[in-house]
Amino acid sequence: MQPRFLKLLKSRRAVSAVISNLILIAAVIVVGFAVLAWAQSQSSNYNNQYSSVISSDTNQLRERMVFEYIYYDNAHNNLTVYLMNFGTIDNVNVTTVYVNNTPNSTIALRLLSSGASISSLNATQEGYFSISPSPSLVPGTNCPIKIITARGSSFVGTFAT
Amino acid sequence: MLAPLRLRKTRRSLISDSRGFSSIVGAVFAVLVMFSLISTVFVWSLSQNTLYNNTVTQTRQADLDRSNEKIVANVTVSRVDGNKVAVNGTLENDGSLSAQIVTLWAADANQKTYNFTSPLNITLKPGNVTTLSGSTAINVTLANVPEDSLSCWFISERGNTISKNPYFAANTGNSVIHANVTQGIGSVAMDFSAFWHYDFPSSPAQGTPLPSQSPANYTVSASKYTVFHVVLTDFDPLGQNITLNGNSSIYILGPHSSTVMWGTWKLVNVTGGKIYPSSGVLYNLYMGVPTVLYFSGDLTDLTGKQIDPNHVYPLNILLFGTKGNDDYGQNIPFVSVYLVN
Repeated sequence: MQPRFLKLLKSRRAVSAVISNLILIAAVIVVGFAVLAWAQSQSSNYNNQYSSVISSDTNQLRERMVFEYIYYDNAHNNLTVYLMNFGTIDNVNVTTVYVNNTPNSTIALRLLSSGASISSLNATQEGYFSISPSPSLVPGTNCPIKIITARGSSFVGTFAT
Repeated sequence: MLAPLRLRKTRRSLISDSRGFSSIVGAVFAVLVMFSLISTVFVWSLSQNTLYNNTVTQTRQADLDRSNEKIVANVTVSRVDGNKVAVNGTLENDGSLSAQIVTLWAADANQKTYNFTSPLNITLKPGNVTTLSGSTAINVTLANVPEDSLSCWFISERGNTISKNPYFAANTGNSVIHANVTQGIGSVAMDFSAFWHYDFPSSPAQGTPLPSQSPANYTVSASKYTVFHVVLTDFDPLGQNITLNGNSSIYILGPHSSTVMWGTWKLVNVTGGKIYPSSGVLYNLYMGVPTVLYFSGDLTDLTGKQIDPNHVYPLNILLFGTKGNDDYGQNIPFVSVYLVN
């Protein structure tokens, strides 16, 4: 091996071939690592996005609400809606209520047991909110009601005025 | 010898051709990139899909459990005072899953008032019956006046609304009217459509199965041993349970002879479709719950002596026991039977 190596060093063409090889390999390694890092970051971003979409979908799937009682006070145009979160996820936030297809976004949620103001309903919790429908509801009719949660779930029901 | 030569030749060509060597390095990186993408994106996607599928399965199961929950509320709402109503009766889990009742709502349609009692935490295993009566009746604070139309419904933990059993409600009607009626005629009512009897040729031994139902409900043979099937319901205005003891009986007293005619059928124990004529028995009547009672005996000794056959006789159902902590007695005199030999 020793004489062959010396011969290689003495040969200009052989040295240039090695150097060009090394340069090309170095370039490929640098570009390769760059591409690898980029691919990993892209896949990581994709994973995060996919994860958040799946998480959002699964959380929405686990939301369940039931209307325990809906009472409309004709004299004061006051609608009180009693709800229970019987799903398996906490922090169910009611964002919009449609009464007779008219939206109402000012929802002051309260806990059924104590009347304390809350921002969302946890699993198995019961709560209520009151709104003043506009226009006021016609007495003696059946009205549709739909609530929309922050996660995008909708729950519908009807009540008699 | 050809293979080593070929390898040597390839090595030389690689060393002399710089692009060939870097291609290998590039290929290694390509494999790494592909592996990185596959191992992270594909595996991650797979795990996320599994998570989603698991959630869908759990949610479907929860929805299925919810739809299979079957609780029958044989209850009545009665006025306690101007600010309170009481819910009496039974809650029965007819489903195959354990259920929990969390809230009771009551409403007065006339006053347009409503209120709730929560948390109830009544757990019902499959087939279990919970009696709401007396001290276990559920009170709801509700402004009301006499003869108002009261209603109630329960909420289960699975989000089901359990209304009063309509069949039961149709049979019991308005509890206030019941209270008024029962003050006049007593706390126990009989279901005439469920009055029939079973016949034996002679006094049955302990544990004898009941025969098929007699087709003639109100025609009784004086020469046979008879077991009467009577359904009674407690409609006590105060919602108290009634316990009937062995002194209760069916008594017959006829006018069709010059002598005094009588006969009795004693309250007996029937368990699992078998009769135990010699066993003492206590029957509990729960508020609003129809209960089957059996009275047995025969008029064999009286045939042709004191009881004249082929006549209609009045039956008196004599009930005695306790209601709450006090003695209670009532006679239901509304049944007649046609006596034959």
